Amino acid sequence: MDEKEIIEKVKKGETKYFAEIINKYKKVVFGHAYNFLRNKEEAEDASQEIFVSIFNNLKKFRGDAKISTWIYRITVNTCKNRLKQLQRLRGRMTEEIYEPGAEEKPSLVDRIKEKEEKEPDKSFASDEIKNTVYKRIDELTPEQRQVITMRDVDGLSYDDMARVLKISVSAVKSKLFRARENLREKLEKDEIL
Amino acid sequence: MKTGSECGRYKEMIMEMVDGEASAERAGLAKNHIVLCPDCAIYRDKLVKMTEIISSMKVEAPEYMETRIMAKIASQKRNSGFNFIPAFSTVVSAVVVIFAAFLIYNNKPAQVTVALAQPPAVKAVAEAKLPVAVKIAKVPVKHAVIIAASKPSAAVKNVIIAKAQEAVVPAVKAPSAAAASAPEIAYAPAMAPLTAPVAKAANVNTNSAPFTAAAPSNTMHAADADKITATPTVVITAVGYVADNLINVNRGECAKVRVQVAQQCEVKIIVYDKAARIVSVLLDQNEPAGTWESTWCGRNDGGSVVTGGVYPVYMQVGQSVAKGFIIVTK
Repeated sequence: MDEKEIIEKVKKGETKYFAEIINKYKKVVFGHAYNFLRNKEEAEDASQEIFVSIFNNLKKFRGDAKISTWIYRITVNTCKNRLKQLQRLRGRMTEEIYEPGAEEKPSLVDRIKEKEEKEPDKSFASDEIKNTVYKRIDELTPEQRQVITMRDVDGLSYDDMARVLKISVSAVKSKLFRARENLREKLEKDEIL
Repeated sequence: MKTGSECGRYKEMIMEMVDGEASAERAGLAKNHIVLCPDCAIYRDKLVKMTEIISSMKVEAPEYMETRIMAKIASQKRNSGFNFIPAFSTVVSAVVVIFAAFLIYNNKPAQVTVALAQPPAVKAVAEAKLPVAVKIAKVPVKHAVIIAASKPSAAVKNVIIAKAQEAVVPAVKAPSAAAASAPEIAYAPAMAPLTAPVAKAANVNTNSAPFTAAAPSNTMHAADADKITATPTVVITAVGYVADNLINVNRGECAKVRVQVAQQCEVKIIVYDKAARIVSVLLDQNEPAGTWESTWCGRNDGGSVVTGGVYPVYMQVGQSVAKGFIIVTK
């Protein structure tokens, strides 16, 4: 069954066909949510929120744009809003659990190197590098994190990104470049690059 | 190595080239620059490595996600519709509460009914075709009639009173005849002023006497008509009723309890409190046929003023029993 037919059926009240839309887009939606929010439970909650929002607003979808672009836009906006909420929450929590002298502990890279020297385990090192990259991505602004996730994780083209974000392609290039420069500098300091 | 600003110009091109988004011209420029600039070659390698690391972060959606989302949508769909069960239960609860409140405040015996549905006083007022706005609120179940004329003139008041008296007094004059007819008691609205003297009993709190009301003359004063609007409610029960049942003891107001006796029998009028303790025995003796009235001014048998609240009144005439209530305020 073609995607338009599925949408029409769902609009007419045949809810069960919405499962096909979920199946088709859950990887993109969950993947974006997970890489953006960096928390499995949060990503699941966000994915549910996104799909419920899609279902509730499906009647408003007129078919002018591609359904994939429309779904992706909802995903991006929902994740961005959720991240802002999380950051506010984390900010409050960090203030509460701050321990003086914590910055004097060996850096993550030092610990990774130390661990590698003692027990050379590539998979562990790989996970640790990933975790560091995640951590540095977390330090970016939501806008920078958004473009990096869209491009490098979700694999969107510049044109698609421009369509989703409703900005020009040159603006996309500019945003992406600044985001990558920022992240590269951080990872260079961590000696990952 | 070229200057930083010169390399900076190529970095965006290198990024486009790595992403596969550069035009042929820009890709060619970037490649040429990388050949000449080892730092930009390193930059390109770092960029490739970084994108590889990030793109390896793809995760699979959990299997249960579809089920979870569909369940959420289904529950949302169920909740969005009008739910009849809670609505119905709310309505039923409201009806039960209203009915319970009604029972509590009335304590009405079952046998009092239709005979008072169209009380003579109401008929009289209707027949008078008064030019003023007369509000008649009938509460059939409670058998209460509230008549309030909006600032009637003295002449109009006289007409109201005269018509009401004409309708009421025959029944009061001949209680036995009234008892023989349809209603068990005669309708005697509180607005009818008692022109006949009521014999006071020795007990300060208990005033009882045979009610021998003579028909009042039609030349009633306008001042008497003011009593009509001042009288709040008449609560009529099977064997008797409580008139002026809202009293303020600080202002010396008294409630009137009247019972109708068809033939000589034991008559009791007792005021209780909410805990069913006797507050005051207004009447407890054998009485001949007639209408008997007692007043209660909010004092117990010891002579102390009672606290504010609702006081049930128990009326017994022979085998017939009725209950009313008096609300005491301060």
